[in-house]
Amino acid sequence: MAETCWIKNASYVVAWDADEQCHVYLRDADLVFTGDRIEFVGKGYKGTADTIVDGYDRMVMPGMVNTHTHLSTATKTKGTWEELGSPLMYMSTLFEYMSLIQLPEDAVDDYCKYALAELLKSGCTTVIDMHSDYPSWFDNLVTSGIRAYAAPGYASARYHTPDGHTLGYDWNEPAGVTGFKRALEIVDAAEKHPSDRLRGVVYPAQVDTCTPELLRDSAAAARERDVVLCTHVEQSCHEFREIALRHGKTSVEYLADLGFLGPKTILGHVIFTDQHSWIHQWPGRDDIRLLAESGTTVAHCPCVIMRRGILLESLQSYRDAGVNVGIGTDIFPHNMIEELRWANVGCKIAEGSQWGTSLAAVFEAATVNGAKAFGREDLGRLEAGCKADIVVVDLAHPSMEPTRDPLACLVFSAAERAVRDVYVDGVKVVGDGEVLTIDIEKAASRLRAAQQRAFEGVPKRDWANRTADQAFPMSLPVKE
Amino acid sequence: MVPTTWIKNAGCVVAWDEETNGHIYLNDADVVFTGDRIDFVGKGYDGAAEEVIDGHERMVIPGLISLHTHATHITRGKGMNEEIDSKLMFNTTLFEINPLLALEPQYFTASFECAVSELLRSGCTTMVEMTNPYPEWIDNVERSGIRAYLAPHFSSSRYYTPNGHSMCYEWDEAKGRRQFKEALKLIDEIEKRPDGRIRGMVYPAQVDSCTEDLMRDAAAAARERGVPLTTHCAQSVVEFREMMHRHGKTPVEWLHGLGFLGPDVSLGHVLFPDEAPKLHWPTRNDLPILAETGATVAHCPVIQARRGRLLHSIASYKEKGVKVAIGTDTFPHNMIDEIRWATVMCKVATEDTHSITAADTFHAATVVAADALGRPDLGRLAAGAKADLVLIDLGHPLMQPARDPLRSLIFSALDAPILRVYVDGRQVVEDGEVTTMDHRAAAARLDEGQQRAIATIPERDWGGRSCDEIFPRCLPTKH
Repeated sequence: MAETCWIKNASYVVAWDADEQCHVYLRDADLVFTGDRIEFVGKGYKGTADTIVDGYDRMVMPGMVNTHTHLSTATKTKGTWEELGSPLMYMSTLFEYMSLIQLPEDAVDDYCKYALAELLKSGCTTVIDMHSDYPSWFDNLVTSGIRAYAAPGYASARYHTPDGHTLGYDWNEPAGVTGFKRALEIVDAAEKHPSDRLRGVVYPAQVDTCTPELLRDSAAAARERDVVLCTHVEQSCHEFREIALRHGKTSVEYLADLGFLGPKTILGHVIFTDQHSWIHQWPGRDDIRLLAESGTTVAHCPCVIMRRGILLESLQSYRDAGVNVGIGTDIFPHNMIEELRWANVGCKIAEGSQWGTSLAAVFEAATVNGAKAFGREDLGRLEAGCKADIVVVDLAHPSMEPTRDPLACLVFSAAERAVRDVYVDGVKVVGDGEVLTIDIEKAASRLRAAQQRAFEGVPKRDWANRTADQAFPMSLPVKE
Repeated sequence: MVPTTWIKNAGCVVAWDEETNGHIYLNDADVVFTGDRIDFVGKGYDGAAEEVIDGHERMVIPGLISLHTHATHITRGKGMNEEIDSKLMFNTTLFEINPLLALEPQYFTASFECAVSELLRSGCTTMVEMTNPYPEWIDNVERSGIRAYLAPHFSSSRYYTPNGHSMCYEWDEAKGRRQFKEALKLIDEIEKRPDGRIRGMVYPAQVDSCTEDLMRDAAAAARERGVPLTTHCAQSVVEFREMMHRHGKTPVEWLHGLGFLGPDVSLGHVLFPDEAPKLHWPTRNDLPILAETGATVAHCPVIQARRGRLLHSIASYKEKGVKVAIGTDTFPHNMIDEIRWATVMCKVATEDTHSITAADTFHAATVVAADALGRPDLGRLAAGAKADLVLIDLGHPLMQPARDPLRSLIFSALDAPILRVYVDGRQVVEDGEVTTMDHRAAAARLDEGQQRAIATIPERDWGGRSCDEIFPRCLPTKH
């Protein structure tokens, strides 16, 4: 029989108010879950429980939903990519740098586990992993204890640049079709997997690297299976220009015409829309409206784009127009709380005003809006009947004090430092701030050597045959 | 005898390179210090030491300098003012919001301890602290172990608003003079201290809250004593307009006309020099004046960014010859986080990821700040410099893969991998925890202090509003 756990008299519970459709603070309240489901959120629970957790000086909040990540590949660029972009290609790293570092196969598990551990520690309980498939993939996801949407990637073309300023595509349409078929097998296997925490997503990699047929077929396959569909869209100025040249449309219009948009579609980034300040003189202003009308989700990953000097214009204006905006970490650091802070502050910068957005708005984006993207009304909120995906924060942690408005203290000051326990499906995966399901020390200790091995392949992949040290200069000169 | 400490074979040392006048990475190197001074930075130390620390998987960096902090008072606003300003006063909090929060004096020490614990834990070893003096101040600094430039507040007027849209100055020149005199007395006492870890700084509070005479005399008093001089300048659009209205000059021009500016001066914020895009002002005089006089800008990006404001930009200031250092100003008092935000906000302001590097900002938070304080012995690891240093766990998971450790630290790990911090050779942080103060107890006490301060908000507010009306929590509370 499933056990019942009662978090008793929590100083704060961030509860879902179904009437007002928003998160609210409850003071001195109980949260009770049995097995993977929340039974009770409110004051004065009268039942019994197998385990009682003292909620004094604790804030209980919903686990966060991450709508855009690449778990195994994202961290490989740490120490190389933080301050990199092609200066002749609007600061994008996609064309010149993305393919340079290829991890050895035996390092993929460590990188994946490492990213998962970071995410869990920062209160993220649901993640999408957009990745090429590999044999131990499902195992890594399932044993971590996280709720995962596996999105096996495929494309009809690969980016390349012969010179650091020209964007080229190496087309191989049959490879795209083969990859698609293989991906569907994986999606079907994920959906049939005995763990209910694992699901599949159809993921043609980028709007400009897939043929229109492949995008259309992908959308059809996702709908047939009723699974989520995702891709990267309007993530670079060059992509916007490329789609405009090919089709006379914006990338979003093009996807709309292919029938790709919809309430179970997640589009990564969507920065360079027809209304972005870096896209000059596009005649229409339709992208945001098309996204809103179709119920499509935008996965916003502020940390990585701001490091390149790029802003979404803006999270709040997308929301105001009716677009469902979720938050993603994309690459390192895989810290959902920090990502919220960057989303909040980045939006204020874009709007040029303190009042440009609010913490409540970005928290909603990282919880219920993310859940909506996956078609899940049982995630991202603490309410009876929902999944027991729960984060417990230590209010007495010095970085949280004074704790008058604990969510604000968490996001603007404490971040993951104050995260104490995390539960997914009612199972504790983080205890006392440590990940219980993954040996993060072990995984972390092997990353450097694997990255070093990957560096050996950089010159042959780079258009100018630069070494890793030339392509990715260190922040300070190294003196021997 | 003063003992010698030898950090032996450190995986990575961020060392000072005289030749290039910059920080460099030295791998597998030694750092040796005796008492408060560094003896040796380099490879193959062949002397002896009383304490030998295994440097395997360790990075050693110079202690960071926060050139602009209000450690005693500012944490009181946490959980309240992260997302607020006066909507009708062009984005400032100075007139309506800041005067509302007044900690009772018995909580000053707790508030100070919270802020300084956070600073030390984030590798900050020197701070400029600007505050209203209070009896325990120097003792608090002494006990904390941080190196501090204490800047006792004085001003000829106080900001207030009677209605939430008029910005008013309650002038009391005599009071300003009295405070000035007391400040100088305190500075003179501090400067006589034998250890030199605590120093004084002359601090007329804001460019628009002091009379011309007071500003002039403040500068003269600082120069007479050879102590550094600071104030807040060009920190808001309303201040710029007020100075223009009063004098027909920008805040920077006005200070320059008084002879206030010089290489011994740091100016808080300077977010709105005449060329700031939000001012729409025709002249381009301010940055050249700062460059020519050698004054340093103390840039505090976290608080500005939270208000939707950018400095335009560290890179462009630098290009024009203006020195920019970093301050935490408000909570979180995390110098590494501040460096990250300074770096990224510059990239955003310039729309160019290459306009600045984390190493540039690190230089600002060490060497530029040290120079502003006239201290070539701070902010760098070199023989003869002060033993203000930070020992970091290169093997910490958040640092991995640690190919470029400074980048891993700034963009990913922040304070998490900091193991030890030394100031004047004295250890003040062990295993990431401050050893000189009880951070947890101070934090709990500050919470109590904030609750008591909240109770008196209605009597300070022009509209008699309660705390919850002025500072709504980020989520509604349901009862």
